[in-house]
Amino acid sequence: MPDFILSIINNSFWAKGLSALVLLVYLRKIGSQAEIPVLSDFRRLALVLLATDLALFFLPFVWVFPALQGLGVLYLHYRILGASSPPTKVPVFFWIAGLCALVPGILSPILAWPVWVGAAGPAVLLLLWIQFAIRLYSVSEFNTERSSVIMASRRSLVQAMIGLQVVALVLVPWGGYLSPFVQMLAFPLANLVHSWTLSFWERFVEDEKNRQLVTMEKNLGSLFEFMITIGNAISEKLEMDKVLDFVVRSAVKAINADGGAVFLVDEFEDVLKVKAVEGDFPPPYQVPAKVKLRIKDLANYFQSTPIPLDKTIVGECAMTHQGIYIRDTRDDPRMAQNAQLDQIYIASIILVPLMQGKKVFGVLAVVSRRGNFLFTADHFSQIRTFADYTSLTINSLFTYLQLLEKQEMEKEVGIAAEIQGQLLPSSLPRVSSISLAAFSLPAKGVSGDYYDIINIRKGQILLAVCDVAGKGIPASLVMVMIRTIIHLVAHQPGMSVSRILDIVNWGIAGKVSLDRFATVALLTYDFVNHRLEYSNAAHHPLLIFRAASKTFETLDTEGIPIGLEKKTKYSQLHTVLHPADIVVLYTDGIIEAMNDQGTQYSLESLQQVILVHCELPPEKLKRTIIENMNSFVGKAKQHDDQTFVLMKIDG
Amino acid sequence: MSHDIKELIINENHPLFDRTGMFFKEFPSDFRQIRYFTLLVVQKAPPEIKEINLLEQQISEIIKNAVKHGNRNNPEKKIRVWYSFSTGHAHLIVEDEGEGFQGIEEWNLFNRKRVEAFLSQDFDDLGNYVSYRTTRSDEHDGGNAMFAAVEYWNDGVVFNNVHNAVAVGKTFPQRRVGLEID
Amino acid sequence: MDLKIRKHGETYIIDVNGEMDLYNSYKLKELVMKMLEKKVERFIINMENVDYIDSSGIGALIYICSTIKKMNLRLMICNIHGSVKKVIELTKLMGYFPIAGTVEDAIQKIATP
Repeated sequence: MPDFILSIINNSFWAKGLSALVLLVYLRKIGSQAEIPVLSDFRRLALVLLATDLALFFLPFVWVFPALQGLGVLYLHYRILGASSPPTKVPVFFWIAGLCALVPGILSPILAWPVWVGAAGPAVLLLLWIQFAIRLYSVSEFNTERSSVIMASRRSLVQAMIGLQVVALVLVPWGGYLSPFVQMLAFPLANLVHSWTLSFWERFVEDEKNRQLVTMEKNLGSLFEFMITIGNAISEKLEMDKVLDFVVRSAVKAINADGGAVFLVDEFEDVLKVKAVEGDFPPPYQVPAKVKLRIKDLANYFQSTPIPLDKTIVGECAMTHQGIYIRDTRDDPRMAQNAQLDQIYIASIILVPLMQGKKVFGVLAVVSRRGNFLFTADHFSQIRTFADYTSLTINSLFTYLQLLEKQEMEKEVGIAAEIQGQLLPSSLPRVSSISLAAFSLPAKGVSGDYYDIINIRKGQILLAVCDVAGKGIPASLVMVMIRTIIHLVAHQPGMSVSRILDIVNWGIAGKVSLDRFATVALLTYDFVNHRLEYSNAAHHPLLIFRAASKTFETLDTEGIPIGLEKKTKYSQLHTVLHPADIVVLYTDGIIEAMNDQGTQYSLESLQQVILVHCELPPEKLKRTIIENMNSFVGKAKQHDDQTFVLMKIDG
Repeated sequence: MSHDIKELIINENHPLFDRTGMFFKEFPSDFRQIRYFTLLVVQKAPPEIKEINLLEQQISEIIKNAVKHGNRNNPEKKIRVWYSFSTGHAHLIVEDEGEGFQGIEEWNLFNRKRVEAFLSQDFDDLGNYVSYRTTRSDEHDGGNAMFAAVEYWNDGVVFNNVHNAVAVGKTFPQRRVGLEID
Repeated sequence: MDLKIRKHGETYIIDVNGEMDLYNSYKLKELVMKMLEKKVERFIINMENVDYIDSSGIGALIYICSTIKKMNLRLMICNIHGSVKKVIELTKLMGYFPIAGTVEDAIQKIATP
């Protein structure tokens, strides 16, 4: 065999070269598929191995190159560790020691050093590796990203590197780094460890990808669940508070947080109010010293104290409309108040704004109170997804609720108006010897006024005018009750107006809810003896125009409104009517009708119109009164229901 | 987050005593009709006002004070009420024929102590200040109406010089959903 | 306003229906006093159906609350909502009254001192 080939076989280069080749091939394979963060450092590592081995092949210097290789490899591993947070700096000590290790080697061909100087290389490198190993072993889940791959690969790395230096040290009498055993076996084996470490990184990246997929699927799953259940919550009971309770509960459950809260921007003031709390959520801000630090008091204080929009971390989230993710509160000055007390300790916190388009309307926050459970970037993105969906839902809910409120109001007005439409007499009875006219105009869609004209029996008629206090459906229902009672009892023999009022009042007073007050005026007129009887419950006095003297008279009885006290007894008055006399029943809205200057129409104006037009039949008189009133009021808005009834004795 | 303690004011020339544009009604001082009078007044409030129940209750307290304490439930004596409402404001003036609310300064002091007890969440101490009583209070008086009133009527609770007329005003904050971001 | 009483073990629940105002708040006071004479020791006042309360009503609650406290007995007020809640907040009595969310919450809280 040619000497050349023999020398190659006997040379350790091929063994080491092979191990470096393995690394290179592996690098090539991975490089095309995955983006391992530390790939470039591993490439440099391979280069260092090859370069130093080649150098040794051509220039079998003492042990500079193996030592150089060892230093270069260690340096690169520092960089690899540094790629994970917190960044790891290569200590100054490394450089100094490195120099101490290399210098003898470089100088040894020139100076004749004893053999044990060769121990400098392995000895120093051994110390440096031990120091690095300590650094490696201080990596934990909590202080380093990608800690899993480092923790998985460190054992074999440390064992191999330290092992190599120990072996080289032990074999110093036989040449140290240059001994055949070290060159042919220890080095190549140690080199293989780098490929082994690289494989951990490859697997890590693979796992990362899978985990992201699984997380995304889980997120989608929980999001769908969230959507369905919110949908149910909304259809069951359209209450914002209940929906928010559900939102925060799901968010807390999804990422295994210790507590969560939803804050909403107040509709009127520039503050955020706590709307829903789940689990253990301490106030994420400085709590005034006065507040007792018992958990119950803290919770009370937290839930009842609104947060101004420009204060605390919650306000910051709303104002900047950015999510805030504080993985470890010890690192963040905004959570400085935390450190002091156990009761308000928060280890990790995530806040995301709830937004719709360009508006921020709230904040969703979750906390971890366990020092060994800090939120990850995944948790942050999960909460962000929740917040997105929650924002959409809440916004629709707001819009829907507002619409509903408006509709409710309109609906209520609609129903009440319908009730009333059925109450008022559709036409006035045609009775001989008198003429009637009636006018009623509600102010805002629903009238608080009611009038009725009932033929009690042949020759007797009843007029009623009523002004119910309050608005809407309750007032309408009161009207129904009054009307029903009047209709029921008016026909009874021996019934007088005051007795009718007593009964109406008794029927309505003393029930559970309010809004059952009304003023009522009742009169009966007997055509045969021309006798008029009148009773009222706190209503305006009856106005009578005497045709003979062209003057006005009023009839009024004492009495409080109906509905106040069950046993109230009302009194009545009577008088006799003459031909062409006019009787007027009216409500507040007529004489209190206001013009733009704030002046009221007044009883005097009403009397004036009647006086001037007393010849007119009631229908025409009614229209004249209305015209006169309207021209007085002008463009001013009608603020009260207007009702009046006219009765004129024929003659 | 600061708290400034509200007070009853005495100032006859306060803008809240300006009666222009207000409705007016006079009522007999009949204790039984207090809620009825209140209803007549609050009927004029636009339905768009949120929490109209609360507005009604606050108005009833002022009318009750005038009827019961001002006029001693004497139906011969009258209370005069001026009132006006819009979607953004409520304005009320109630005058009675009595000698006036005597202890306004004492009341202000009492209220201050009460609020301080509340701020330090000292509920035992707060218990001493939950009810303001005078020689004329009876067992049916809660003694707490003015505490709520001074918080509710954010434009002020103002008395005239004789202390027998009180003018109150409330500005309803306008509603919006969410905050615009630039 | 009407008042109904029901029992849950040793706890008496008073369901208040309607409005607590200057005309009828004394009824609640009288009822509780009567029950105290009958040696009732645990009270829950359920305000679920109360939509309106004025200073007399608050005064009645304060009286009831302080009497029961003085006698070292137990009271919980629950289901306050709407303008009733608002009035209590305006009067700054939220922490003073022993308040629970629902009747169930009140029952639980009354059991644990």
